[in-house]
Amino acid sequence: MVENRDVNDSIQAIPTHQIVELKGFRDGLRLMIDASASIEEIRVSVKERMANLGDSLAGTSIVIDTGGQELAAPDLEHLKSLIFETYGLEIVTDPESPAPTPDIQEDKQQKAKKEDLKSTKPNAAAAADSQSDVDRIIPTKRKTKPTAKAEATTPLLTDLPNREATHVIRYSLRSGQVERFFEGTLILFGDVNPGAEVIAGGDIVVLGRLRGLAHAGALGNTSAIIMAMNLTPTQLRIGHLITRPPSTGIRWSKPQPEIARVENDNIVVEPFNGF
Amino acid sequence: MGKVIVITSGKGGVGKSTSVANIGTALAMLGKSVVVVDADIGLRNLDIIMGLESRVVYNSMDVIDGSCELEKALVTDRRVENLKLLAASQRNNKTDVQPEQMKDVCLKLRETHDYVLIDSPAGIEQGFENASSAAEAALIVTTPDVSAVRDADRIIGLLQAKEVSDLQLIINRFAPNMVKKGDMLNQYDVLDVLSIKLIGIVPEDPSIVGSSNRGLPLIYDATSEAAGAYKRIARRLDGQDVPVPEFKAIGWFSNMFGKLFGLD
Ligand SMILES: Nc1ncnc2c1ncn2[C@@H]1O[C@H](COP(=O)(O)OP(=O)(O)OP(=O)(O)O)[C@@H](O)[C@H]1O
Ligand SMILES: [Mg+2]
Repeated sequence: MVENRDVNDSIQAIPTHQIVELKGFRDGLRLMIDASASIEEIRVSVKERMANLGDSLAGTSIVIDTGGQELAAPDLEHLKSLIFETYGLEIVTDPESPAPTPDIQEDKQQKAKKEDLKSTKPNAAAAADSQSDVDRIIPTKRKTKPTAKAEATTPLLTDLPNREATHVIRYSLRSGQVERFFEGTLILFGDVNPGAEVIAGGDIVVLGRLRGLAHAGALGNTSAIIMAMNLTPTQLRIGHLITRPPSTGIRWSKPQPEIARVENDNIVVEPFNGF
Repeated sequence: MGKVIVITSGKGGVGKSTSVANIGTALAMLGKSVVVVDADIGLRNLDIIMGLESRVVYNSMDVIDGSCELEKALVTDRRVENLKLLAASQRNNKTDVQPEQMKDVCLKLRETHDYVLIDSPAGIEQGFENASSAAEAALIVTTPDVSAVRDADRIIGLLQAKEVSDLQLIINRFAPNMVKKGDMLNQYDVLDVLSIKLIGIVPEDPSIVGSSNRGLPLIYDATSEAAGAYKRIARRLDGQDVPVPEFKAIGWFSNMFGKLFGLD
């Protein structure tokens, strides 16, 4: 997989096939597609990019972003069904994409979701001249590419080196509760009980006991880490890798901060002795 | 003005109805006026456990649809007159009642009784929503096994999300011998996960089944350890400070020791 050991870089786009790029944002995911590629290339790249991400993404919304380029309606439809059926993602129509054919009209619920997105947009003024609804909400790096019309956009925090979006939770998660944050790092002041899940696009730090499931680097970033004051999880996932604690025996060691990271395609857990 | 308390669990069959019948009776024996409400619509059985089946004429559904006055629908216990039961309808199902309707009924009962104890169905669906709609406090029942504790944790999360913050735990069917052998979680394991206040531990007691079948709550059996536990829970619920005893495994030695020194 990706040999990227820079922890600070955990949420930056992972070098993938140029044709597709998957990014996490506060309200969900964005799949950026180079529509000039053939549908077959796109299909393969999407599969490649989304392979082995597990079920951590299921149920989240995803925007298919073709960057204003034309993608034939049947091809778009094909992609949507691939993504929905294979990965369980709820597709939110990107207004930037070509006029939808009647059968891919967004339903009310999706519309409502998008209204939500709009109401939370942070910097409307800065990007008001953009033609795209969604782009105004979530400025992407791609827009600064030479091909894009030069325009003033406020970069996201995540676009600055060594800075990441962070989501802080100040309560414990009980069985059945799930917290996800695809945009960056998730910090939890509390416990993650058995049966609860924390999922982040970047790193996960639990300032308490982690006894449920944690998935760091949920979009495939194996340089992400998981840290907890007491690490006795039911399962750990980093990127596409999964590990369980040994099924025999209970760990009797005195609770101490531990860190899980990927080494040679394996998740290793060790006492935390500083970075 | 009384207090509305829901008795609930995630997993089924852990002893909610048994707890409601026994705690309700014990509170009534302390002189409180108590109504126990069977919120397990479609599967009523609290009346059977309490031995009141033959006296049930009306149920909460009749009150909700206006065909019976609330007071008239209450069944008075055979032994303690300040204990009443509001039965569940067997002909309807859980979705025939809305949480708001159940809430209205319970809040009305609260005006004239010290305690309104609601017997919730298991699970996290509509039945739970109905049962917890009026609750200001909850007793969560769990048995000391991993899956029941996991489901109890889930229910606690849901109650906290509904801002029911007065949550206390009953550990039921506690078997010291099994804990000693390592076949059962001990109370510390359970509390370590659930991190809410413990209101009592009820030991496994084979005579409960017989007492439920006879419709005579166990509480009347003076020799039963479980009855003692339920009486203590009732007193704690009523604000008394009653310590939780350690339940010791009964082996040859402790048995002899207990007999010799009268510690049993
Ligand atoms: N402490 C105990 N010792 C032995 N048996 C018990 C004990 N508590 C409950 N039981 C038995 O467990 C069974 C289930 O109890 P009960 O009906 O009270 O559970 P419940 O949580 O109300 O079930 P449901 O979820 O179906 O409503 C009954 O047969 C009961 O007699
Ligand atoms: Mg019951």
